[in-house]
Amino acid sequence: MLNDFRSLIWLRTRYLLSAKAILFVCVLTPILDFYLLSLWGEARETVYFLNMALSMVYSLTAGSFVSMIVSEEKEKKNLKTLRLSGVTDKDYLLSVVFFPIFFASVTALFFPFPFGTTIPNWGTYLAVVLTTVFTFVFLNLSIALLCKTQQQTVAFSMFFVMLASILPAFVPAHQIVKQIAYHSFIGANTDYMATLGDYSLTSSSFLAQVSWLLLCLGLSIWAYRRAIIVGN
Amino acid sequence: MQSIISISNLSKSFHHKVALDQVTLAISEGEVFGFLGPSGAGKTTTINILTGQMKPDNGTAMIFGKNCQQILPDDLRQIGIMSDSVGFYEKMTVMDNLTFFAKFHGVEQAEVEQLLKKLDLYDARKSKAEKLSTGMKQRLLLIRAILHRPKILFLDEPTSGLDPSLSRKVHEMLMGLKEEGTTIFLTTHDMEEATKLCDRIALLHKGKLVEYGRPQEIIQKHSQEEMVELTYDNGRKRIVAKSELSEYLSQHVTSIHTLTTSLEDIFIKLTGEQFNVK
Repeated sequence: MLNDFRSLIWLRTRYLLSAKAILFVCVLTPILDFYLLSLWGEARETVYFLNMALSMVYSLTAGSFVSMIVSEEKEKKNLKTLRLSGVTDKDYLLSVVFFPIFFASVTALFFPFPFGTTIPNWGTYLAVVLTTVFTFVFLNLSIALLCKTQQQTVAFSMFFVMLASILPAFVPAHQIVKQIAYHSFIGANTDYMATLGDYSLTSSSFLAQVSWLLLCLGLSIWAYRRAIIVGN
Repeated sequence: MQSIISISNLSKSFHHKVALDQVTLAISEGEVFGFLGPSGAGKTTTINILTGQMKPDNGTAMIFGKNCQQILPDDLRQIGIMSDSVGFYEKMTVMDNLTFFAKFHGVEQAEVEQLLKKLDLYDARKSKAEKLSTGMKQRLLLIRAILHRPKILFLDEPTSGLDPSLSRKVHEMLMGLKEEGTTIFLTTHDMEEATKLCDRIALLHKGKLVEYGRPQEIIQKHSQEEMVELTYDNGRKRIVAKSELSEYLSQHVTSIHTLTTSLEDIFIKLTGEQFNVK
């Protein structure tokens, strides 16, 4: 079993090295853009700046990364090839989310250092970041598995990228918008960035985030089973 | 011999279009079985059902004595598939594409290289898969399907797009696998290939089995009366039954050829339709 997973990780590594554009767009772009901005912008050291950078990491490094890989794999029949070779559902799903989760988590945990943002409680920050990363990964995995073509996947994925970018920005606008944002798929992060040291993992926004994560995980498994049936 | 694949009254329709209609057959272990039929006859649907990718409407399909709807990843590891359902990583090299499957199935790299050499793909091992010609892609898929020495091999038109010399190499390779005990389920439009390679064949037309058995027995069954072709000195030709040959023999006959019935003739006779290429 371990050999199967190791082989799949080898495959993913070779795939990423042969499709460097994905690495550039999804991993390097958020890091470079925000690092360069942090060098001269007055926004440096502000929580708002970190929040913007994190939204980008969730959307691109966690979300679009997984949707780009899976939609191509599905369209080129590689998903079925792997399944017909005896790759288990569990190994497939773990291998496909491995690099997006790894890169997104490391980037999100690394960002506060170059930006000079003070994180009052690293344990809480870690929990919020990881839960949000996982939510974005499984949300985009579901999109890729449910959409028929790569273009469809990009369009739907972009919709959630936009939502993730604008929802936190509209929080101060209205109480209802704030409640929607705090209980959305990026809610825990939005609430954490607004309250920082006062944020608690028992807050309703974190519980909503965990619910989103479980919902997206369930949807991913269902969509995977659907995708491996001929005709879908 | 024990049946490794058995299909009983298998039916499948797509939007009221019948793809398979009460198909029943059994394939023994180590047998090369040819599934012949024109495009839309139901060959790929059968492979999809047998590999658990599709549910039949009625009937049962068993593989390794197990219902195809319940086959597990461990069963699939004992199967090799080269069909419309499978693909490869286009941006990756030929070698990387194959190395993954070698690692996954615990096959030595040397064996991969040996197969690449056998099928004249070794020089292209560092090329990206997307740069390969159709025939080379076909060979890549074939190597991928056989590199782990599966117990059952499903091959959908394995030699289409290959030149005669490469087709011969593929045939030799398949015969080698048969000698090692691999059961081969082959779909082809090439009647000569089927006659040469297959122990038994099934002729499929619009989802129905129209003939089933050993190729030579099928040919014999449908050529009860042997025909001969006479060529006269003025270039005229006449086809007559061998039993009536004496009536037509004269000093003007320059040659006599016995006409053999082909599987294609039999298919046309049974269905009234041409056996068009897939």
